[in-house]
Amino acid sequence: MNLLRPFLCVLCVLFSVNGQTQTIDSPAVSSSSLQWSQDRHTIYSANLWHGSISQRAAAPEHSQLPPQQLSLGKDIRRIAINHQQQELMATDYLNNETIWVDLKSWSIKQRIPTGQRPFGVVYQASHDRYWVSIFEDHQLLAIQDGEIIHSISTLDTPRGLALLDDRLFVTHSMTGQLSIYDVSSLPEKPTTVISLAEIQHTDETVSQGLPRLLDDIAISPNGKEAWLPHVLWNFDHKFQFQSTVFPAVSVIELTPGHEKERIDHRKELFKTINIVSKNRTRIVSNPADAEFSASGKKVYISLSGSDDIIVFDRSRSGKSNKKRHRRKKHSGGAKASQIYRHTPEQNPRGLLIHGNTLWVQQAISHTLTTFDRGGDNAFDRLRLHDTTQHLLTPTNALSVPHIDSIDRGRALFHSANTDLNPAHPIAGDFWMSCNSCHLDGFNFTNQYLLEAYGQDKKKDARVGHTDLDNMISGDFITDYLNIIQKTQGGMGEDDRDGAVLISPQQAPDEIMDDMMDLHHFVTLPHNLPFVATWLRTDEKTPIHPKEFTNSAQCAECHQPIFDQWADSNHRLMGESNPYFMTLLEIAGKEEGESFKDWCLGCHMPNNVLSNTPISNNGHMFEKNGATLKTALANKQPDLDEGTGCLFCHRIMSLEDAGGNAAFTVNLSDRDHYVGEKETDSTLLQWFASRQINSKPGAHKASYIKPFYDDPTLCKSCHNEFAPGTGAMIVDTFGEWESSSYNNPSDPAQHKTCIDCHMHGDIAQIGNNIPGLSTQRGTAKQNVATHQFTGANHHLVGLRNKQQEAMSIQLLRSAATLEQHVGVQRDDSSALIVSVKNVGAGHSLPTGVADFRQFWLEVIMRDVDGNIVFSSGVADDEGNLPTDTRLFMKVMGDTMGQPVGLRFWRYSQLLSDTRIPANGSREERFSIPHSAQPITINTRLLYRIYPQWITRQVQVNQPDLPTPPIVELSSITSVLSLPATLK
Amino acid sequence: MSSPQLHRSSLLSIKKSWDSYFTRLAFKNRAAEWTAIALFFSGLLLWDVLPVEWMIARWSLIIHIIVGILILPLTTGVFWLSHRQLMLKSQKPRLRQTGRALDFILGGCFISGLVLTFLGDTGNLPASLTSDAHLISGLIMGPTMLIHAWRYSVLRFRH
Repeated sequence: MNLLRPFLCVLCVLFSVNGQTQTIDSPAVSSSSLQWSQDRHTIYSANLWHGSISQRAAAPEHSQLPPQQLSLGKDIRRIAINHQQQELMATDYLNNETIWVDLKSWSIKQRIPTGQRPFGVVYQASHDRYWVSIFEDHQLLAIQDGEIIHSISTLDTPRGLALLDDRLFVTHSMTGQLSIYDVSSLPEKPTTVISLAEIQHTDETVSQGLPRLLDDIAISPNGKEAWLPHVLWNFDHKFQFQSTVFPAVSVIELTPGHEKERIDHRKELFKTINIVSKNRTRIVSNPADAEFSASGKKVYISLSGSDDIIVFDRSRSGKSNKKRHRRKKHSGGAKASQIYRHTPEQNPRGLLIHGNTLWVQQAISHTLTTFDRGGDNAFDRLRLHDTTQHLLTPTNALSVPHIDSIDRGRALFHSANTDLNPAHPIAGDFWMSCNSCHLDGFNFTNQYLLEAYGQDKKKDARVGHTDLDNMISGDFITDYLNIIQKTQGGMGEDDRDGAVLISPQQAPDEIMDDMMDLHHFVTLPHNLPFVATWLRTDEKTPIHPKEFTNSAQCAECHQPIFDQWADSNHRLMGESNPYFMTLLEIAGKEEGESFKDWCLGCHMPNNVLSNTPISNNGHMFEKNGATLKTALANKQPDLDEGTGCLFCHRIMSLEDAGGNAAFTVNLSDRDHYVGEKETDSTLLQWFASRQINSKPGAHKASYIKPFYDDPTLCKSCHNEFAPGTGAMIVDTFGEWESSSYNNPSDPAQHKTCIDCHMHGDIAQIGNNIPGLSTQRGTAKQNVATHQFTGANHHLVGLRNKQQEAMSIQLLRSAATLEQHVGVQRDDSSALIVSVKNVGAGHSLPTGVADFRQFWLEVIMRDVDGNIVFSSGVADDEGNLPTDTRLFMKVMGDTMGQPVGLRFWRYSQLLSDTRIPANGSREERFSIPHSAQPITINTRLLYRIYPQWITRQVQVNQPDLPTPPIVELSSITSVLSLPATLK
Repeated sequence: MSSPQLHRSSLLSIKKSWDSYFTRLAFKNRAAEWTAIALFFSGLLLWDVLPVEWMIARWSLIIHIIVGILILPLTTGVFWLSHRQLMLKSQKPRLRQTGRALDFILGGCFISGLVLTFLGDTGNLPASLTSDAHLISGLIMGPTMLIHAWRYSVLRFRH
């Protein structure tokens, strides 16, 4: 025994049972929803969507500290505490502000407005300032003494933050990057950007894809490593169970100046952890937060989807014994040693460790659960301590905080825990939750889902959910269940654990209740309140029609702008557009009435916001806004159609979700003048007008936002994707973005939407047109006129010939035509017609490119004037021959058939013969043998809608004139073919 | 006394009373001055350089307009009319000079105010000049008025 004693002592040292024995004070700070007081006696929590922060004693012996809660706003994501323990900074994600809290008086010191979606926050002790990441606006803010002292434009979507020796680490959540800044002084010095590896395998069931949903950063106590929990999106194939989303943790080496990803150290959490249950490798989902033990030997990761804690043992970290690991991936010596399945409550997120205690914040129930870590020995196990405390102070009426339907829906949205309801699980085999793709619900991150799409559109154009019964409209429960089954393997689709396959059309009552809860969460004001459209308002809905200021009232001072708009297609694009009304009717019949909101969100948003039914009282031929003027004279509210003055100029924020009216409108919360809202009182209105006249600054500021000249605003409605499936039906913005017209570094070349479509003189596009937008107003160097000149010359021409002429002029400026004779492979001669897109900053045609007819008409005549060849010649009824060379996009349904009028059912691209911006297309026509010379007359023609659609529309609207065929360009050549040619 | 004589006499009596009232009005500066002070401070709150909350500025604006176009003519306007004779006859050069200056300042401020109210500060050059004229004349008027008649000012709080 004496001989063994030294050996046992060595073992004791090596496998120290007390993690505290090797404590190294971490110099790093990380953004988190849980924070310590300096003395480790108090825990502070950001209570997320509850909008509050709480203070709790860390242990019973500190229970003299009263539990406290402070309501701060809407959605408190992260908190940071200064070193003096006197103040706390919190980010309010939905209120777009950070809140400075005095901890001593437990009260708000100051609210600091920020950009869109402030998220991470860390305290930089060396300079006594806070750093805040602004997720949606791509910014970092330095805040000192309640003032924003510095702002940094960053790569997309900065989210998680950590500070180490004045190096600021920033995760870019939706692009899979980590930026590092030297913030030892201001301005900061960008150090490096690490793009996490995007790995691909031929086997789709192997963990792979684009690193996404990066969030918090855990830095090892020795400052040498950072662990970044995230998921991998692999959207290069159809959504299949357990093959498109994978959990992972990336490891970054932090040696100053040599920061890089240790790709071989990445923790692939999908089917690679050798912890087996039920004869299967355990699946976990949605890694959220990570925390190192003080010795750095253990790392704990919360898995917010599957409600687990995974424990990594790093006791062999840094030991690269080549012999031992030659046949295996070394993984940095860190191995998953335990999956604690499951946490007592749902959605574990923030973590804190002190000694052998691990605290886990569980977001849905707002509770803090204590675990005993055991120690840092490889064999020490995480065990549940018997204390779980509520972070929210119970109300008098309830012993525990109230969980309502929205909370239950939120829990379903974030859950992938199959065990919660084994018979009817929300996800199969703990794989993924809705939140694995739709981060924080439905918001601007949707654009990154669309961008991550990597399939061949000709095989499958759908990014998201397939097999929808009615596009998540009408009977939305059926489609929610379709999605849960087909995307997540839930509701019995994966029945290996005893789940019962349910029929989405005949779900049991308890499931219907669950889906209603989910729906309540989905339709929250900051999510998708109207489900099919991304249109939002932060006002109480429905908005009363009286709140919509009649645009004719604006004409009092902005007459020319009103006149331009009143006849334009931006106004009469709803009830007065018979084509729209026909399609709207079909959409409602096919998919359910609520699906119409997808269309109405852009075409008649005022009706959506005010929940006003649409009528059939269109005024297709109305000139100069006559109905608006009448309504104004009669003091009647008039919602009118399209996007009126108030609607467009009260878009308060853009959420670039990829299209579908993704913006937030607020009509009321503006600087009103006294009496301005009293539309029934002529006297008060008169006084209001006098006030606006005499001091228009507040009026002007209420209606102008910096992003009004940003093409992203136009993208909101001129890009269009199918709800649910995400198939990109219209991508005008994307076409422009990849063209030479998008060239901000060269102002002479750079042209955005307004440069062409809000220009008063088409012949002068590229030049400024000076003028006024207000009578007797400021003389502007260039006035953005409001005709919104576009391709739909026909409907605008019914009421305004000048605007029709502008449309046609714009169309004619877009393309040029050339032709010559060439030789084909069989030595026969061919007419080669080249159409060049020389003027449009997008494809020709764009928009509803499946309906627009843009084609070549070729007529060849022999020496006697006889037609010897023709192509694209419309018959007497206006129909085009089937072999006409059309430049268009043909979208197909799941069966590969053209979708026709049901374009929202677009599933695969059948053909795309459009002419891209800066591009050209050549069409070849065989030249027959005829008496020469041959006269060839080629025309580039355009028609706004095919004849068959117009005929269908005219059934409902007989007075709709048939759209004419417009010649855009023509060329005539007389050719004598060389005798050598056949 | 014949009826025409009676009529004439009563007319004379009315005229005399009016003259007397008008003469006395020339010394009754309180309402006129309070009106001018109200306009001065409500106008000051509308000055863009001052960080005034819109909730305050909007009420300031409506008060400024209502007082400017309705109350000012009835108080300061009438006082000015009666007071002018007094000023012209004054033996004190300072009163004459500052009074004459006030004629121009008040007139300029009133007219520019009317232009701003009814035609608007629309942003073109004439409107900008009018706005500037209104601001400058308003700012000058306060001190000039105090120089002109501090002795009689309501701000002296005489007991």
